[in-house]
Amino acid sequence: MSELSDFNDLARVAGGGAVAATIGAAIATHQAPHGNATARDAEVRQIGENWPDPILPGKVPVPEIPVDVLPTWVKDMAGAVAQSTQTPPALAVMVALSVLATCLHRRFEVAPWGEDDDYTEPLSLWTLTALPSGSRKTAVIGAMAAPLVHWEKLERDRLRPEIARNHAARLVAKKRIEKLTKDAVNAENDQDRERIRKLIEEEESNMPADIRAPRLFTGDVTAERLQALLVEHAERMAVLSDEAGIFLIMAGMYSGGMASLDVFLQGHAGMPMRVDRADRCAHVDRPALTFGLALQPGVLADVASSRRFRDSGLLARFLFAMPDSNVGQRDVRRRWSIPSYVQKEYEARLHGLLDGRQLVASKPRVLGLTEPAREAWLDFADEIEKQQGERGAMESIADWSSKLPGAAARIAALLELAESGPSAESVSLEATEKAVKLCRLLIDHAHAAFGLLGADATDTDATAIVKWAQDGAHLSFSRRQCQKAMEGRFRSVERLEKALERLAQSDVARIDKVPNKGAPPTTMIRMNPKLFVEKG
Amino acid sequence: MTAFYPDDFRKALVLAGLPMLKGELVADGVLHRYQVEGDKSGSKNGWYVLHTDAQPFGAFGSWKTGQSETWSPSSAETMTEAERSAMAARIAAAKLARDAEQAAVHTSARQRAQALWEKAKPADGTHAYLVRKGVPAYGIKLLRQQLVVPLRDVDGTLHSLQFIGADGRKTFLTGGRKRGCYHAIGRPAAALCICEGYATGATIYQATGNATAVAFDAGNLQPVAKALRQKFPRLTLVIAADNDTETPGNPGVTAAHAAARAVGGVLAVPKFGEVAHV
Repeated sequence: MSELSDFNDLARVAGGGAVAATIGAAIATHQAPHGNATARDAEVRQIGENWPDPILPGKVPVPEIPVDVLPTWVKDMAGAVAQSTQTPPALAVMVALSVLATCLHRRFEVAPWGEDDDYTEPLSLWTLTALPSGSRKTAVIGAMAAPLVHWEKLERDRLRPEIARNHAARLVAKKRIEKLTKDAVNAENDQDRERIRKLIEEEESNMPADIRAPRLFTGDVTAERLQALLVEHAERMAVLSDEAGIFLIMAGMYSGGMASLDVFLQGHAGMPMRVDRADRCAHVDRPALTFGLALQPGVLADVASSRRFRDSGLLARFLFAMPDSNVGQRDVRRRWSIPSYVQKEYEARLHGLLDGRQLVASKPRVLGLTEPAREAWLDFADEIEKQQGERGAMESIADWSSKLPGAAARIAALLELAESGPSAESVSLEATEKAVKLCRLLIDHAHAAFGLLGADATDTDATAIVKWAQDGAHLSFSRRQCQKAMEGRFRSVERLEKALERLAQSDVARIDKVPNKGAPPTTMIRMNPKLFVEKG
Repeated sequence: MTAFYPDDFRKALVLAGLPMLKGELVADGVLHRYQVEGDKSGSKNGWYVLHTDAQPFGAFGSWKTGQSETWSPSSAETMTEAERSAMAARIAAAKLARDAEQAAVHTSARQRAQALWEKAKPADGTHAYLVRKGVPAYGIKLLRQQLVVPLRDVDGTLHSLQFIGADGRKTFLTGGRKRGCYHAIGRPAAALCICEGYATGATIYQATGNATAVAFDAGNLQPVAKALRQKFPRLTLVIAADNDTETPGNPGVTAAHAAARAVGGVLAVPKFGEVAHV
């Protein structure tokens, strides 16, 4: 850790947000209340009564994600788990989607333009739900993933004799090869050596391939081990975890920001991957990697504004849920248990989806979208596209939103397979509409996540203006005054205007044009007085 | 008897970490400059004054490290009253000579700094050090592939330069004044941060928008903080420490804490523990 000592190091490992937070906290502790603060506060509070409550940059209000976007039996289970754990339904919904992807990825793909088209999306899904410590994330993941654990155990038991036979055969073959190699070295003449060499060749080619008990998912894992798991388990693996380890590895926080990200990127896109690190060299044709992470918002703040993480495109692949925490509002006197019939149905249907899963990877089956489903999906894709341009609602998260139509197609296929079973032929309109509904809700959650991640540049600028105004008690100022005070940040008026516009949209500030005689009007900014009143 | 004193004086130089690389000591009561062992070839950062007459006395130091020491073969307790006052006069004379020499050294460095600063071209952020640190160039220049950071006093007078190589190696202009000098990034509004290095300062400015003064090392935090407190009596001064947890005594935090106390500022310390334990 000796190389980590100053604020530059802090910015590199935890982002500029961590630097701003540390310095801001130091300043906050220093600013002792002034003698006339109460009188001033009262005055400001009075002015503030005409203003709505400000929504600070990055603190976007998010819609609830209801369980009814899921197919019947998954909806029942997610609803029961959310009720039993008194957690926001969004957490159970996101984990449920990742569990479905864990069962179905690599075996199926979706082709929005029809199964004969060459554009296909794999069914791997990356979900990330942010909830504070103590909000029962582990319990939700445990309940939703329990049938997977049970299935792994059943498979392990079923395959035990076969694995033992395979292990013994491989062990004998290896020992025999060792002995033959020694014999070949000590052979009296070339003829004998050649004969033994042929025996070794024969032995090696007859050695049975290694059989392992199948694993569906893992918890905290390193990038290297994940690569090996993909090789060992038929090119598919899922990470269902409430540990921050893997996310921090992706952010490069354990490797000076230089983590090997290929395994993640290729695992999401299903691109071929060469592996030379596991116990054997292998060529993984279509790796499938699913994430179902439930982390504390502080972890997102820790990797705040890590440009490298954002630039790698990994953040853009996650579907974020940032629900409001229930902590502090739970009824400790009430206990809802998950009905056993719901649990049993959920487990049976999940195991049904896993039926026919091969130990060896084969070509995935492609599901096309039905005609009406394709139209609904295209309408959604078009709607997203139009909001990604200059000054569009999704301009600042365009890297994320450009992947959203693809994610909608993936989710639609997962919902279809869950509802109709592995024999589904194509993705219906109903499943597509549910997927689109969910994706629309996720947009606000992504805005909130990227705001927290400090990755939205306009939010970061807007936050800096709020901070400057609060530190200097600037309730009202001209645009020029603001730009001059923060000229290091706002080299162009356009950038400042964007940030001010963002503040105006969220009731943090109001922008007025004050006319000047014979000169262009002055742009004046009035900050929401509620920002200048001490809470409590 | 007189030959004994130069040998003793040499030992004192070695003990203070300022051994003479070569040459004879001249015991004429006048200030002489010399090359300290381990210093750059051709530099003359060491200085001494030596008397070896009836009342032997010496003073020595380094412009580079800022050390200033006195030497005498006998302790003040064994001296007579007359000897003590003669010694005090000599100490005062040596101090005057040192100050005069230091002023001359600083003036010369100031002129060289000005000439080099004018010769240097504005840096644009593509320098390997800036890229590695992930910070832009704020008011610094480029000269012979080295970044040049100016050291100015509170009046804006340029006193010296810091050079930063692509590999991060930092050197200062020989003989230049550092104490109380800093490099300012941004204009102060409500709070002003003071930190040790350029990359740290640029990071803080980038992340917080607060003006930042780069003091160049831990020892200079307090002089810079005091100078800035005098200039900006109403500002909140934030001393942004280097958290040298691996160095005994954590000199970064210790010096920053002392600086914050001296000027009624606040201390901000980067913490790394929480990052790894989430």
